[in-house]
Amino acid sequence: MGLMAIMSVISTLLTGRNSRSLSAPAVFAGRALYYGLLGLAVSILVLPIVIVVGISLNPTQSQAFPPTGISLRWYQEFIASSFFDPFFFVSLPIAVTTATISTILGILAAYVVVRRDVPFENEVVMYFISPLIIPPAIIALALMITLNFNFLSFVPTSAKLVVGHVVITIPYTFLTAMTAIESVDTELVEGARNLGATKFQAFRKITLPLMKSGVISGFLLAFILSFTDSLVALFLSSGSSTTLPVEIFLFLQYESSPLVAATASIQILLVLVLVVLIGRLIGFKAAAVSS
Amino acid sequence: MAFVNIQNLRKTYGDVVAVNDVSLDIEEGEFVSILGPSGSGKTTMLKSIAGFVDPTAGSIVVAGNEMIGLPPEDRNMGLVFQRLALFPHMSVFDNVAFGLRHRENLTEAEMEERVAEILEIVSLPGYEDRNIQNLSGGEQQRVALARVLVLEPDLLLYDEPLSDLDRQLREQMRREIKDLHDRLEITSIYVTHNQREALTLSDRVLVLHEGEKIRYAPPSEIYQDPQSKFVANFVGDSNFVSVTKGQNGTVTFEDDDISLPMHEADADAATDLLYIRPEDITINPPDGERVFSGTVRSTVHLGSVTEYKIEVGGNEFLTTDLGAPQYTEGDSVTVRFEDYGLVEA
Repeated sequence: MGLMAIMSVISTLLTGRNSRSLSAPAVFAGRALYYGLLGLAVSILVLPIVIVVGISLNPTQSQAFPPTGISLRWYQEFIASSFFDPFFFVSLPIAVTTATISTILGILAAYVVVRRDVPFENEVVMYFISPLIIPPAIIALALMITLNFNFLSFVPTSAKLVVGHVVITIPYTFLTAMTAIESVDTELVEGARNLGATKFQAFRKITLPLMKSGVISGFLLAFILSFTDSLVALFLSSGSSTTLPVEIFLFLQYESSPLVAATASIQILLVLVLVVLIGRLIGFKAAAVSS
Repeated sequence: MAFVNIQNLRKTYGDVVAVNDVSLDIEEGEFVSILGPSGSGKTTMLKSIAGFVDPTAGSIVVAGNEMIGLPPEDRNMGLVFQRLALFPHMSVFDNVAFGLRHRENLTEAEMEERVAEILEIVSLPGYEDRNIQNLSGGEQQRVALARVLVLEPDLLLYDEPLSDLDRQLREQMRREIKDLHDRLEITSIYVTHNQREALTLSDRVLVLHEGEKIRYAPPSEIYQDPQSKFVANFVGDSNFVSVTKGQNGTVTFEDDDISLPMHEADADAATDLLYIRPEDITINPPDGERVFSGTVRSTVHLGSVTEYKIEVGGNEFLTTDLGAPQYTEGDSVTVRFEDYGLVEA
């Protein structure tokens, strides 16, 4: 009940309705509460990242926060560590491949659902987003059983990981592509065809460029999901094809050192750079404005 | 055969008949409007011609070629959309050159020349590098026109292109479309629900109502001889009165002892509905025949004209008079019905 009351006060303040009937101190208290909660929410999101980066800067084996000194020792150790190969030669290529395949499949499926008269459209949509509903462990188990059949033994583990990651990322690329295609006015496509473009040319020159921001966000989501997945990878990894999260997981069972924090910081940095870079290069804003 | 020959065009969506066996001939260079209220099937007809709707039955022949079965990209038609459908991610040049790239095999230099030429025609010289989003509404209209005109299409299709504009710009663009047509003489079909646009632009107007062809005639003919209540009401305003036809060549208002001489042309009309245009009612005429007394019920000043509602007998008549209001509610006036006719109910 108390929470309800607080929420109603906040919504009153936000919408500006009835705010005249409140006294000045009450308005001030409400604002303070609102910004306080907002600040808290932001800190809860950012704090773990700050702590991880802080720990990675420790000069010793200690995982103290705040760090006992500032050193890049663990970043140097990372290059020689057992995390380096899984990071750059397993997780990264798998994430890029997964994101690419998943984005293409997501766009194709979304295009058919949005632009064509598909029988059982709702069921088709449900099918593509079902990996979101089924518990991840069940998916991982099912993938492990299916992909480890003997006749599939010639398939490299990394390829199996890509298949598994495409399954868990397809709902995201499919949904973002669906929204993106829906945002492109069909009259633009008709306009292109009226001017002599075939269906495919109209898709390539009109629909695809205008849904760019949706495609990019879908790609990024798939990339991050694949790069950080530990569950499917845990069920499917083997030998040389152990992904970074699995490697970290195994490492943490026996030891602890700021090395993990340094690895995580590099991971965070990579994703951050990726997001900023793509935003700059292709321009989320330009893409958003044009559609 | 006419340049455009549409035979028994029909489109149904389940049980709904959007276009019901409409036939239409258009001569080369003619400007034809398809006029009807929303839901009359006019856009369905246009999209069938452009190739975006598959008709259920019928044939569409343009310049001697059957269009049904051809994809939109292979019909040499230019379509100007209601919301223009300019490509927002491309410059003016790329929008205008889009069709040339797909339809014709030109060098980059030839393409630049063609684009410059057409931008000159639509009074946008030097606009090649502009961004679509930075253009005004009128400029965007002109780019939409240039984009289709540059291809020299057999047939130009307009899907209510002016309906989203404010009045002033709409009038201006209407005149420009008229000028362009007079200069280029491209056979055109113009879909609109605006009778003013249809009447002023067209050589002939097709009036559609609930998917049915009601009338296909030059604008003046449609206005002066609407023939049906729907046309009389939709093309211009009309007052309607139920009448009985007398033996002596008169019509008498039902419930009133007002009688008017009947026009010869109406002698055989099997109807008892009389229409009178608002502008055909004169208020306080100098004495003469067919003058009846009435009472002013309302006055609306519309600027250049004033609209009155005048009760005569048991009926209320809408009438317009030039200039500012001269009568107010409750005034006793006399009216004369200058012109009128019978229409199908």
